[in-house]
Amino acid sequence: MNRKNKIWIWLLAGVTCTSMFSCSKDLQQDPEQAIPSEDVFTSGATSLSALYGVYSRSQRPEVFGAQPQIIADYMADNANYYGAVAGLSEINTFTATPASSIISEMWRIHYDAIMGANMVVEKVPLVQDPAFSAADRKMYVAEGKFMRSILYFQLLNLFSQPYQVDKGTRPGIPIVTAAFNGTIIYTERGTVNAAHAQIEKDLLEALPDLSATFPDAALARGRATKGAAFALLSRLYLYREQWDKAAQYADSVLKSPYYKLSGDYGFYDGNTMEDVFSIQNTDTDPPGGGQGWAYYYRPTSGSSAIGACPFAPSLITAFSAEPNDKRFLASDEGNAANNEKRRFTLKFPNIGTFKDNAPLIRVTEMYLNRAEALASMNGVNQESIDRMNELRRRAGLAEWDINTFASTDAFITAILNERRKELCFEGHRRMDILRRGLALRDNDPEKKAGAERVILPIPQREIDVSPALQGQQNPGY
Amino acid sequence: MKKGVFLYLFSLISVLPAFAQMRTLTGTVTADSSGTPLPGVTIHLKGSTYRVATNPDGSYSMSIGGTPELQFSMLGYLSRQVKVGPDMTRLDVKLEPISSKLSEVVVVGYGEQAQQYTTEAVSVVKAADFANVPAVTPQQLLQGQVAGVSMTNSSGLLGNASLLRVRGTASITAGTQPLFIVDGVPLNDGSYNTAYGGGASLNPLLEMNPEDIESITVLKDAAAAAIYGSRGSNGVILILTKKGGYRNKTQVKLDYATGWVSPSGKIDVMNGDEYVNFFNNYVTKAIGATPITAPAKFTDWPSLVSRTGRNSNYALSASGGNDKTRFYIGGNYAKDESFVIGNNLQKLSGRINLEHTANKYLSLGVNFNTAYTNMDRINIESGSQAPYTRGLLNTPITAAYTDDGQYANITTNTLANVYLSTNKYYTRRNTGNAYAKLNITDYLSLKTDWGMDLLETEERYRRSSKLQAATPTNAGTLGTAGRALWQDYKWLSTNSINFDKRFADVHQVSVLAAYSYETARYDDIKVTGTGFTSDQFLNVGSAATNTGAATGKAWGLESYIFRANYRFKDKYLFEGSLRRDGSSRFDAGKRYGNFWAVSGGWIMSEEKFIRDLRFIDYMKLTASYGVTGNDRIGYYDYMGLYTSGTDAGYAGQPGLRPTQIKNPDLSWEESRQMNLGLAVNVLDNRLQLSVDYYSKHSENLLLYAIVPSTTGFGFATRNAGEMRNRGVDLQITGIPVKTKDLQWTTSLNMGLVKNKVLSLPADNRDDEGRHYILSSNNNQRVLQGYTLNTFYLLNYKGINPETGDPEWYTKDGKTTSTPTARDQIVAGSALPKWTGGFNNTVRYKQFDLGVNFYFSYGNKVLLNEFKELDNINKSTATNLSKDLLNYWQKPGDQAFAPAATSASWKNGSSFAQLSNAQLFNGSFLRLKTLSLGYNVPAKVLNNTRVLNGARLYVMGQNLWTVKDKNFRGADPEVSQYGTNAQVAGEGYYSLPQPKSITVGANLVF
Repeated sequence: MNRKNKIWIWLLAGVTCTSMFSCSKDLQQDPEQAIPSEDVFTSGATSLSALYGVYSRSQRPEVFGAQPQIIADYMADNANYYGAVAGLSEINTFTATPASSIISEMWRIHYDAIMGANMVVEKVPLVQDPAFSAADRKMYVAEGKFMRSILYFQLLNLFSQPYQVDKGTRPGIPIVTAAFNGTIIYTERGTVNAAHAQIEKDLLEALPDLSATFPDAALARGRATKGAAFALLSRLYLYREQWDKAAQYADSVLKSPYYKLSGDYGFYDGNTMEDVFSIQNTDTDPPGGGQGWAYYYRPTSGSSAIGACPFAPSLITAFSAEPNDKRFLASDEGNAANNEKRRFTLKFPNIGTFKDNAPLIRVTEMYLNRAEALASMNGVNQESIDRMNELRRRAGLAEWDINTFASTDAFITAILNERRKELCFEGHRRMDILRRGLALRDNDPEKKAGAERVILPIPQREIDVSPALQGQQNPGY
Repeated sequence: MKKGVFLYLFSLISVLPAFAQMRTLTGTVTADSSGTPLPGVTIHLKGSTYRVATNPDGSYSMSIGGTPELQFSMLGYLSRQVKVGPDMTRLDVKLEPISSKLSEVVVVGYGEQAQQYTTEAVSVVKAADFANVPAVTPQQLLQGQVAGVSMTNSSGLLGNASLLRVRGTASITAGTQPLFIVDGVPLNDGSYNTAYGGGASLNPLLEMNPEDIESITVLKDAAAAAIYGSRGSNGVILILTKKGGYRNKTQVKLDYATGWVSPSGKIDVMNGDEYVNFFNNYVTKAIGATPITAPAKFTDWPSLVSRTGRNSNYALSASGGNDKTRFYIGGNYAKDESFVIGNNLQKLSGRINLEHTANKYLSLGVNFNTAYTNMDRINIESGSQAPYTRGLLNTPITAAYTDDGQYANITTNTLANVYLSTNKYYTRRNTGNAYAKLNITDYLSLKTDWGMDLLETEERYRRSSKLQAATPTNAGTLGTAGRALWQDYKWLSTNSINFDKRFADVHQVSVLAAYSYETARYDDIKVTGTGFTSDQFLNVGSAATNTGAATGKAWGLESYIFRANYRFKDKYLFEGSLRRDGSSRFDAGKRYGNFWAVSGGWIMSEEKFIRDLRFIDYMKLTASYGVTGNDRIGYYDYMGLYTSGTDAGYAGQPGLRPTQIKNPDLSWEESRQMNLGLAVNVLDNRLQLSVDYYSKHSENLLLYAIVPSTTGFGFATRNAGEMRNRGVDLQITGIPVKTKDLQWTTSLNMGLVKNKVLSLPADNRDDEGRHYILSSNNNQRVLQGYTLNTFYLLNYKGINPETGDPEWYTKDGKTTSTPTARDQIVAGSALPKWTGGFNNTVRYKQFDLGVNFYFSYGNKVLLNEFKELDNINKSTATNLSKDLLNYWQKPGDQAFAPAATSASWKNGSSFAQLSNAQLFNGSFLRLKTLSLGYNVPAKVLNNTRVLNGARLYVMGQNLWTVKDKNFRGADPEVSQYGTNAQVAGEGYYSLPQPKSITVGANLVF
């Protein structure tokens, strides 16, 4: 044997050894805490989970976990803001900047939830699963449409002037209804009317396919139902001053067997017939981020509550006009973040756990919507008076009659005042003021619909990454 | 196996030269100086191709006839030619080592090379260079020792990861730490988010005992690092541990050191009288605060939270070997206390390195290190509740204790927080490898190497219920505890073939081929609990409510590795390397990547025209170019993902939500690096100079960057952008004095780096239209055309001497007292222009003196604490910087602080708001170590009969720092965000580097 052969034999031996010892060549590693997107819309069960994911995202503090809702109350005259969160303080003093991370996170997580809904709407019809019934498919799609409607509606209210300014022709928000497929599309703001049209379209399309209710109380109130869609349409039309439709859809809810005015005010976080649509929070599944409704709305208590949003003096004045209002009695005094003793609401008592549900639509609002819409169309009228009296009786206040009000304006002002006291701290006040052309705060008559800074700035982050948004900042920022 | 040996022997016989009268010549080859036997010396029968190599014991045996001439050669030794006399059957030969450093063997990727002949840009730090420097972890030993390696301690906190950069920062959002490899095992270097103590970006080398290290090699250019392929972009740091020596008498070493630690700098805050006077004269006027009255006794918070830390270090080792086996055993126990309360570190480690030569063909070995560390960490390190922070922020009128000795204001009292809580962090690590090497012939060998790095870290915390205010309803939530376990287990195997042969006396060829597979699995388990009925319950299990979580993930890397070297006439050098990596972190279509380098060298001193110059002893010119990669991203970043958990579940129903954009095109980040090097030795090798110029171009950067929210996602990892690091590494070593009694060695090393971000994705533009990436931290921006880590801040002008109001410059250079975010400007870079060290050793008779400096020049640091220490308008009053006492009182005053009546205090434009007023020149020169040792003379040692060597020493660390006179912080060496490349050079009450005095003894038995 020659030298060369010897070397080759050894090399061969070496290579054999090497490949014998080499480990598994499996370089395809799959994640263990996540599943690839393409595996999600493959069955009815996983489709439902993806739908729950949309609701879950809406629990976030930045969505329905209280930040946009407290802003709606303290930017207006129901609450003050004393918390140490700089981004929220700036909104309180109308000095917010486009760089605010609070605002940019609000924007981002709304779209995060919206995209989850878009995925459901687009992908569920394509699922190959014979066991997945047509009714369920349609219902999930309808729920996806409802969710993106309510999300777009809230976002629009925060970042765009109300319909009342130039009849909805002011810039809206980017509306995306297609599932993201990997190619970034830069979407322009469009108009308020365009956004409203999309919301209306989604809700009307969803209505026939939504369930009337669910057997489980948490799902009956926590998932989108026909009642929730009726109610949201009623609010949309109210904001657009389409009074007939606002009244009509409110009535659809009021006629439904699933909703009824509660006898007292113990219904918060209760999933009772009072609730039309509440985002569900629990001990083990709170909004996240170590906060929730009680975090802002209860007196300081370590990291469980920060006493950020006590009653504004103006709201106390509003209540004191008619003493012993039961709704006012559902409050107590405690330390605000600025160490003053102040009055706080008891609507959201669960500090630490933050398990209070987000009461996004209550049947009470339908009483108010219908009363206001009818009054706006017909002036002082008996049905509006009756509806309002149902609420006033529950609050322990004297009833009105047809002669209580001298003018339509006085009547509407009184309905709005009732609406304020009924829905305070639930995220309605700012829009109710703006759409009626009033000033957000008594002492600052300039802060009306159409004025600068009554709406939030488009986050700089979004402008920086989207050519379609460049130059589209709200005036004043 | 037997068959193979037989084949080998058979073939050996077949190639024996046929001489008429053959005889056997035997002998031993030893080193001239020490008499140590030299294994692996090539003995070449001149005029033939016949060669043999010496055995591990230095012995050899060969058949010769007549009086041939033999050449004995080995790396690092001068070759010798010996004429064999007639009838001679025994020949013992001594080889003389080559005197200069160049003769040394350097560790390179998957092998060794003679420094003299390497074409790679590598820097080596030997054990002798850092002997007796008490360092908690080995990479501290690199500070100021290697040109082109900049090392910033992230803070003085014990156990924290330091920021180590080899030739600048090569990536923006992917990992930028170099790859650490110990005896061939790449270490895990993950960072784990702890529940309690902030991010624990732990030091990957924390568990190493510096005493065990033989050498640290830094692979800097592509020629050196491309062999590590997809992980080579950030440079590679190879650590070789001590191995013992064959036929060496067993040597036992004991090292003991103990020291005293204090901070190297401080921030001046007001004392009690100053605070009360200032508050009542100024703060009351400025913001309408209610006047305060001085308490009977002020509280000196800075001294309550600090102490003189004590440390001690014991290291015991034994090494040696016989003909067949060599070993090193090392053990270490170290105990460190920070100068801040609540921060301690204990470390216990043991190592055994063993190599056995079974026969001429086969050797087997194992290197194994096991270590345990136990740290007391501080609540939310460098956060607003950390003791050092509170020490500066708590006012002198805030009592620490009540009159009866209890904690005052217990819920906010930092002392109670530290003393009534435990916050432990443990690491347990087993790192090692086992190998077998088969020498088929003297030029061909096979090696199989199996390594592992098993890292387990654990956090345990327990907060007393006393630290929360009790209310009627929160009894069930008082007291918290948590425990988390992280496991990062890595295995790898490498099988290699090595060929090294000289042909026709002028062609030296060596080839390496290897296959390697590496896989790691990460798991964590976390439990937390709240609601303890008593502080005597220490564990989570006793809590009223518990939560638990567990996750896991894994990755794999498959590699084919090749390297070939060719050397012609020991003068012209060529090297090529190639690595093909396949990684589980990329999609099937992008999984494999090729990384390569070519390099060449010319030893000019072998040429006649240089040799004629006479004063040049050695001169080498090298050039290299190659491509390395970076795969330091998440394990599954290319996939579109949905996740579950409470973040997706709803109303008790399980949910799924989209969390990651799909990007199947995701691929490696690549760095193309060119290197030109020159090494010159003159004056009898007493002056050595090496200069390297490099240009490192990183492209397809793995950017984790924002995308429009309308996609439903906030961020995505994609390949975009380019960045360049250019620079010069310079190292000069000289021996100015060399006499019998006095020797002085001095060395200067400097690394100059210029970083520039060349391009970024076009869809991210700031308000001036520049491409940029927003980082999570708003103080710095990555801007195209600027250096990475560019500060972007308001431009502070100062206090107007006429009005007493603070003023800033607007973007267009006008003066304003109410600046807006639009007025921010590019305010400088956190990256030093150059860093380096200046090291001196002087030996005089029995004494030795070491003086080591480290310097950093041309960088800015932002100290966020001054936004608070200079701000009087806070919801809760805090202590203030002493500088505020210099406030504006009357027109013409050149004051530090505005007038008390300045509207700026109330209108939100405080002079303490974030601006370049908190940005300082971060250049510094630091006396890192100053040591004085006394070596006990031999005649004294002989009397002891047991001691072979003894040295007593005293050493000071960080004794003296020269910094800018306007620098207001405690220490310019800060890196609050650890290893995050997007933000460097920022501090927020970061602990200054410790200043210490150490005394110690080294004993050799």
